[in-house]
Amino acid sequence: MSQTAHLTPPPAAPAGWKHFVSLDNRYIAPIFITCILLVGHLSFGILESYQRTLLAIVVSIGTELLLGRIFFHKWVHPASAYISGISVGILLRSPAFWPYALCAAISIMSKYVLRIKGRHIWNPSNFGISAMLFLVPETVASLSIQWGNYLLPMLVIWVLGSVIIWRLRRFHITFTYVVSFIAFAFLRSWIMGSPWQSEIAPITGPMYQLFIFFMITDPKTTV
Amino acid sequence: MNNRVAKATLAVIFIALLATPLVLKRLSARRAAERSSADVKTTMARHGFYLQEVSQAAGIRFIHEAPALDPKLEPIMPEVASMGASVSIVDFDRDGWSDIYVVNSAIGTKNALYRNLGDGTFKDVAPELGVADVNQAGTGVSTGAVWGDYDNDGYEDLFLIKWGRPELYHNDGGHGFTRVSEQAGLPRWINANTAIWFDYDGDGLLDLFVGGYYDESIDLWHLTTTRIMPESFEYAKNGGRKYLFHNLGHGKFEEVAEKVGINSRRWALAAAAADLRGSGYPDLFVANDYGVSELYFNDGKRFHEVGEQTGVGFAPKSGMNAAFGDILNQGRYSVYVSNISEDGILIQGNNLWVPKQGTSGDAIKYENLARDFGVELGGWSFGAQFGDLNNDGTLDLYLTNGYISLDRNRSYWYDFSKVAGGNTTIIGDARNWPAFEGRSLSGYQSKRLWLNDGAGKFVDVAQAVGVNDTYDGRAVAFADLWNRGVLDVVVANQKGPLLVYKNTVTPENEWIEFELEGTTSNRSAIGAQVTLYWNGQQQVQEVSGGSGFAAENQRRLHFGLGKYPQIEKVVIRWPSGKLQAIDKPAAGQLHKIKEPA
Repeated sequence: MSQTAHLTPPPAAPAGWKHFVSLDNRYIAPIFITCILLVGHLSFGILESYQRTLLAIVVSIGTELLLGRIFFHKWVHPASAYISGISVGILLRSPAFWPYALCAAISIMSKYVLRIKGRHIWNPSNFGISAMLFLVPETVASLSIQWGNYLLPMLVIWVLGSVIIWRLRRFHITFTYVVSFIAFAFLRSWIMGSPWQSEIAPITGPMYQLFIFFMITDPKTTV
Repeated sequence: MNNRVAKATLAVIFIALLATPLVLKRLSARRAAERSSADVKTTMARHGFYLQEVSQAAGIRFIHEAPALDPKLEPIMPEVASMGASVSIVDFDRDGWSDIYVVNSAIGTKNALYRNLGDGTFKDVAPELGVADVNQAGTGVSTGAVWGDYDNDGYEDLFLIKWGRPELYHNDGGHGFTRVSEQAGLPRWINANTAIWFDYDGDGLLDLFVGGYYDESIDLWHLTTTRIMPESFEYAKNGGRKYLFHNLGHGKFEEVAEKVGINSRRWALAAAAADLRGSGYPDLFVANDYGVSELYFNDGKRFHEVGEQTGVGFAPKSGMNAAFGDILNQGRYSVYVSNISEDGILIQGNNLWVPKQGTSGDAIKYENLARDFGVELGGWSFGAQFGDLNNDGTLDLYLTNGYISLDRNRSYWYDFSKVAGGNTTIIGDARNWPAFEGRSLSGYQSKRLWLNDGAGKFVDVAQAVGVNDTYDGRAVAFADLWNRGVLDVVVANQKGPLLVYKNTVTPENEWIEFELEGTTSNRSAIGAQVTLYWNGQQQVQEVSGGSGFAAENQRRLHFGLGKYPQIEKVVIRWPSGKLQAIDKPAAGQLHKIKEPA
């Protein structure tokens, strides 16, 4: 997940008191995902370790700054790379350190290498994690079971995620995905003869919530 | 032009990064292939030992049967009935030869007590001694067994771990067993997979810890609800309660778990006890499925849960094993906990909790060095034990694994991970789980036998030394079955045969063994610490009343010494607190030592 590399200037800051309560859209997703990370880790210990997540963030931002400097001749805003790094830190599971660094580097590089009409075509961390799962499945896995499987954390993420995605004008993507997922879940249940609860189970878990709110809504090529 | 060059360079680097893991994998596979392709002679020269599976020749033909639980669980029966195979070593008749007790888990099946005849063969004497027909309808089935001399009469008694009515059998002088469960004060029903004997308060009488798995109110053969599954796959606290039976003497026990600070309802799968702080009292380690491990410091009166404080109880995994070993010959125990690893799906990694440098006593902390030491990935891991299999002077690690081996070509993993990541209301009800329909779940896995180089690296040599089975392994126990000064390996497999791996070790590597008998301390000497000093190094081992997963090693302690050992001394710290030092004990012998008055 990431925001697209911000090559256009941010919107002008609001005047007066609104300046203090209104937040640049670029910061909403990073703040939200940081909150998810901290709440999840402090309550349930969701991270492999702070060090691994920090490594992913540092490599991600470092790669972004370097490549931005080389190809766009400017220091690219690190918000996007920060989200990619933190996403790798949350979603990649490996007891080793190197997969976090490698995945973060591949993620950011993919934005610069895999482009069509000047836009990157895949969500960077989604691509990076998929590449790692394909190339070194014996060393890494994706996040599968987290947040205690309870209802309350799920509701909090759904409500806040919806508000943020609405504000970023991407809610229709998430909504369409969820409706389609549920419809196909029931269809699969009917075809396979499996309990419908098992088919909708993934969307009730946190991994899918992150996917729904941040991955499929990005990059802008999806809109 | 410059921009084009930069883009081309970036593309090359990008492709090189993507290729890096493949190169690493290829190199690693080549090294593994080289290790496993040697013949016996080369294996002996390279590793100093090899193993031969000899159960048939030894007269052991035991096939474990899994339970058939309530028909409401039929769609996922392979999963809910996936445990039960267990093995424990005991010299029940005190003839100096280790015997093997192995349990069965289907209603109506028989457990077996293989008496070691001393000529290389065994004979099942369980029926005539009264410890075979213990899985009768209405009483549940066996999931394990641990032996301890609770009345200090010199003969090891049997506690039968069950999903059902737990049983205590008194050993009548090695000639038979008497069921004494009611007199002892055991509860009507426990769904447990682990229990250990230990003397937690140092009064010279063995106490008993039992760790519940399913809630004890559930009769798995007569369900009133299908909401019996864990509420979460990483944070479940709806499992069975824990029991600590304090031995009052005269065959009576008092259940004191809550009173002494053990209140957990996590899903316990393995427990082991050892004095980790030098306090003189055994601390208790519990590995839990669906959650974090627990470590209880014991001050002789109360237990204090310090999992988070010590570092072992923070990251939730699927704990299935607890074994202690002084892997660096530093006089300190590390703890090995097995978990699940499945390529690309779930890489929990096993934990090797090593004491942090500079920490000790109540401030001891552990760090997971499984990856650094090379003992992290073992598939769907179950039982493991530390022991010096090649007598080179360092403790090696044997791990068995494999969850459910059915159709090789169809996997249940997709359905499993689909449900496991969902909300608790979905996970917790067995009705919501897709049917297994003959699919495998981490089945047919290769075992691991990690040789310790003594300097912080373990290398898997299982295939090279003859461990080629791919059964669904559960319990591992070590014993010098033929009194040859080597550790043989016995493995209990779920719905599979009991395997006996006979060990052949290069004679250049020497050994020494100790068999202790308590007088003031409990007679089994469980909890006695033996520290051997030789060649400028030391190794500590503790007499155990159960460790690994559903297993108990031989009571005697075995030390490998390597070539040309110069033994300085052995120091025994008895559970009573007495210290006993013996200078220069001879190598190549079993030393029988009685606690001095």
